[in-house]
Amino acid sequence: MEKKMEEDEEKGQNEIQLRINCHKLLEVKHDLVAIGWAGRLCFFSSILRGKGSSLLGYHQASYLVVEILHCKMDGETSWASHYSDYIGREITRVESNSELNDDTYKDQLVSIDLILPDDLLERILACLPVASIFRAGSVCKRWNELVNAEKFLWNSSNDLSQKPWYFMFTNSDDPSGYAYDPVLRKWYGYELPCIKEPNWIIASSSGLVCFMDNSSRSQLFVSNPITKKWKRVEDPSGLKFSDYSALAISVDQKSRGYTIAVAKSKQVPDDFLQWDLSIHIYDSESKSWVTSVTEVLTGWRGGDESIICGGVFYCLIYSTGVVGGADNRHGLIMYDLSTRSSRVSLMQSCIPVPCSLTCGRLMNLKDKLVMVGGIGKQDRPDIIKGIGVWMLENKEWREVSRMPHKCFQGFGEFDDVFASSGTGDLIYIQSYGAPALLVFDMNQRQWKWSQKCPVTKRFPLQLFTGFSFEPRLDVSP
Amino acid sequence: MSESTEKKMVRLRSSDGEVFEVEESVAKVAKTLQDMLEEDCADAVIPITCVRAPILTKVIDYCKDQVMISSSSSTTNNPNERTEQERKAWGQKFMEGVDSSTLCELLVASNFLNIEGLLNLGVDKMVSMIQGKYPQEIRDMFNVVNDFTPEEEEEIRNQNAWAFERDPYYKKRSSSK
Repeated sequence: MEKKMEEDEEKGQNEIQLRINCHKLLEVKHDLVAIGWAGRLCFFSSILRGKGSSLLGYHQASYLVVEILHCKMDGETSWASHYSDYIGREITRVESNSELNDDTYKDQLVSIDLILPDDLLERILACLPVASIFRAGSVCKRWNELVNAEKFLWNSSNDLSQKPWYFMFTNSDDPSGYAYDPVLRKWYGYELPCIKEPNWIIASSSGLVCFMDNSSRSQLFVSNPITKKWKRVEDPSGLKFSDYSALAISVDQKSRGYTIAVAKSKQVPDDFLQWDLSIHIYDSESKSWVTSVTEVLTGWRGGDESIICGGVFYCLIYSTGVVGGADNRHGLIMYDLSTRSSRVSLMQSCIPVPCSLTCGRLMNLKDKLVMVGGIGKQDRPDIIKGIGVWMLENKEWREVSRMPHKCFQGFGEFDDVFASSGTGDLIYIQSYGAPALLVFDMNQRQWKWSQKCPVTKRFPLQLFTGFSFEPRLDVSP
Repeated sequence: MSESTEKKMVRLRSSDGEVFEVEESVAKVAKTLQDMLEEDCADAVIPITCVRAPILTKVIDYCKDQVMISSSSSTTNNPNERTEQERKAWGQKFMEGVDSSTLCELLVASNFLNIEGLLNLGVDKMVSMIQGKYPQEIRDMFNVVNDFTPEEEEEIRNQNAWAFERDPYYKKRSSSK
């Protein structure tokens, strides 16, 4: 026993040092002198040996030593074992770290870094909006490691606090523009990968954005605009040049694979009534295109609006004006991607839209098919009197909301042509003529203006369009 | 259960030696304590060795409130029962005025004592404090040391420069050098 006491004294100097640090850190008032067990001493010295350590590791370790010691004094061995995992981890960090510098520790403020274990800190960081995650990654090395760990990326996208962004093209010549973050209500000057012109055909799903050029319609890219990772997909099968092409993408939440669907539409030569419509499907797993179905439509043509929702590919078709009246200028056809039968009749699946529409857009809001469109005036269907939101339920359209009149007027020079895009809970609507952006929240059934976009209209023909996408770190093309 | 039976009390000691006496039902809101009490391995005074008295006070306040809600929720027309919205408002009020260092300790305490509800409140509060802030503001708020070299920091920022636009703290730093 006496020998042990001597050992204690030998380590006295170090012990005092430790006590001071612990006291500063957590205001532990208990007297550490009472500690004398040989086992504990071994523990102590192993930590003190790591004195060539950073302040962080050192403090965290000494804090944990104190924990253990207190527990043992109170006869609570089970509590001690509870912490043994932490300690093992902390010791490694202590020994691998660089010079201890006491001068950096200036005040009594409890540091988040010293006392929060990795899993807790990670849980906090994973709830942050994407922009804040990138900022957190530049706070210090430990935070940087946490946000860049593969495990972390997975967590962040499971969190429901992320909301879809809207990218706004601010001119018609190059694809530059701003991205709007509805959580922080901020616009970021943002560069998109792959896309060369704003008039390219764009589709998005669960963080992946698909771009297709609008002239040859053969250059097809899949990208994640947040991680900037991208991939070119081989040219779609079928006709090289079509009159209209509709593009849709869908990411499988489990496998992280994706499906791209393109509906091509071309007028049958020397025939005003008939149009060829073909649907081509690409799977990221097989990496190949399959032409699933082709059909000749009479009095209708395909367009450039489509979406995949609940495993079904939906596409808007347009009356060529020869058959039918003004009331059903749009129709919705559907194709089941799970069966992929080539023997179905697309026209038989056709559902007329609820009223005379302009700028009809399809979107997938949490696996519900939603359509936004301008409601035409009775006598002049080209002039819109309002904008409506509908949801498809059991093959019937149900009106969800109508844009309030004051919002509708708020667009100022509203020229009937508008862009709308949505994912998750949000629908974004903007007039081509101005950078004003209106947001409809499906959950709260609320219409709200976004923060003002930092761009101003400089010339009368300056056009603004855009698309929405989910900011995610965990999906890759 | 009759009202007359005396409620079983539990004593908890904070890291700085203060002893708190609470009803067993209050202590049991903390899963760690519940396990101990049920396994009967708790001593007369349970040491809560990583939690200081002011933090433990706050934790006990939370537990008492949880007991109040759950004890009366079995009866219909419960005046204490809260809607989702009220719960949210209550949580915000509970965390109101909690500064960054108290919050850190509260997180560690609720993590150690395994009180999921309080942990969630703490995480939410922490998220609201961090989000939208620039890196230097975060470091100042939570006393985190920047261990990057200026070159390393710049490289990380450049990878996603859009997220750092108009950072007044960063500009100040680089212009002073």
